Amino acid sequence: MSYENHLTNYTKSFTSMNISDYIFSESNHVDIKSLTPIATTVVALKYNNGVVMAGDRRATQGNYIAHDDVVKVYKVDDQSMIGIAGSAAVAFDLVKRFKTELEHYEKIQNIKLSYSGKVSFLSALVKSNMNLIFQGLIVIPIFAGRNKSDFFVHTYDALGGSYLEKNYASVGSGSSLASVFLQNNYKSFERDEAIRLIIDSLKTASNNDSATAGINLEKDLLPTILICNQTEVKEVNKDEIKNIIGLK
Amino acid sequence: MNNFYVSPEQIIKDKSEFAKRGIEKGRTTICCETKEGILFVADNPSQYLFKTSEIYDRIGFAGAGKYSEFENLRVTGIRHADMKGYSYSREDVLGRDIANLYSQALGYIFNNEIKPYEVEVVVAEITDNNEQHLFHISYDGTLTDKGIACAIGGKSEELSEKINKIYKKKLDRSDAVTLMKEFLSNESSKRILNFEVSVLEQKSDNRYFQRIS
Repeated sequence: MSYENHLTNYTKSFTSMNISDYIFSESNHVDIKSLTPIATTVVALKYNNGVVMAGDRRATQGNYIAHDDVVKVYKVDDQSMIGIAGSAAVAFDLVKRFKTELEHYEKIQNIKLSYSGKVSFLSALVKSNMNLIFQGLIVIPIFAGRNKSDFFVHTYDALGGSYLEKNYASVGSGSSLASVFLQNNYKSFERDEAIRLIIDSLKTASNNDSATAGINLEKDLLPTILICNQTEVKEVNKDEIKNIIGLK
Repeated sequence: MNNFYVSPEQIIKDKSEFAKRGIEKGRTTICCETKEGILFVADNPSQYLFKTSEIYDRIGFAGAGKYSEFENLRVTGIRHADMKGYSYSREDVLGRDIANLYSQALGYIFNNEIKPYEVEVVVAEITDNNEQHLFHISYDGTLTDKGIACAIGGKSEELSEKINKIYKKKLDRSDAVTLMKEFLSNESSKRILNFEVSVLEQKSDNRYFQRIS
């Protein structure tokens, strides 16, 4: 093999390395437990009058940072929001499909789908991606919102199982770091305190997880933060985030 | 099977009369353009079975005649719009597209089925440069672009004429609601128990349709 050939092979495997390379490199045996989403930390947290969800902005291909301004947390309607971790293409498709189906339901039935209806519908969507899991294209969503009286956070596993979380939850490669941070710091919060804590948890995750971005003031990149309260789902704008964490 | 010859003119005449009679039995819905957007006012005793609906971001629907039949059209329209918006882009879903769909469907049914649909529908649209359109589709699939106001259901042709004589310039929504309610009350022999009022108007998100009452 010429040196050039050797070089191109080497670079290829280096840049296009993704989870399937890790899984299939040793043997063809697939260990479902090892199929955790690469990249991303998305955190959802309940506070005394609503629920807040935040996600970092980084997209990776192997160990290459592909994008620094990706949005991973989306408003679904004025009662719920979704965060995604995992393979970007499949994840964006999941969100688009989910939003379209809910809007379609609302228009046909003349009433919104209930919160628990949305949870189980999302389960089915995740489950429908099952064939892709075995190729390493995994997507794990996190879902939060409200019904008529209460706020909820739900997490999912790769097979579409949904789990009601008590106060907070996170997904993505940095989720264990963020979760430990929240475990140690969670109490009953006001809105602004909750935003401060959720940003701190993302920072903690970004400190040790290479696939999670922290705050980048040079490029003016902050996490995406959505808030769901009794009346609406709204993005917290940059200036307000900066005010809350004392950057201004 | 009957062995008698019936001329096509006669078949169409019979079908038309049948459909017209069915539509006349129903109650009336008025659609009109206002300064804020598009307004629907329907004489509808039910608070749950609607005659007006959202189709897509800036497209609304009003139906008159047989409920099951215009409901069928409504659902088909929504499905078509959502599919198109999903596979292409939200801006590619157009009112005249939906109107064409209804026109084709009603035309086919009128010509090929034994019983024509006893319905009349309006597709209303606010385009992205804020023009307003009212497309009227009758039981046989005839598609017309109406002026700033039109009525469907009941004795809608006469009422449309009456409205167009008076309603020449767009009013504010609240004035238009009062005026259209008056038209409907004068038209109806009984006291109207419930008005269904809805609008297509600009708001913070891109879905313009809203129910007022």
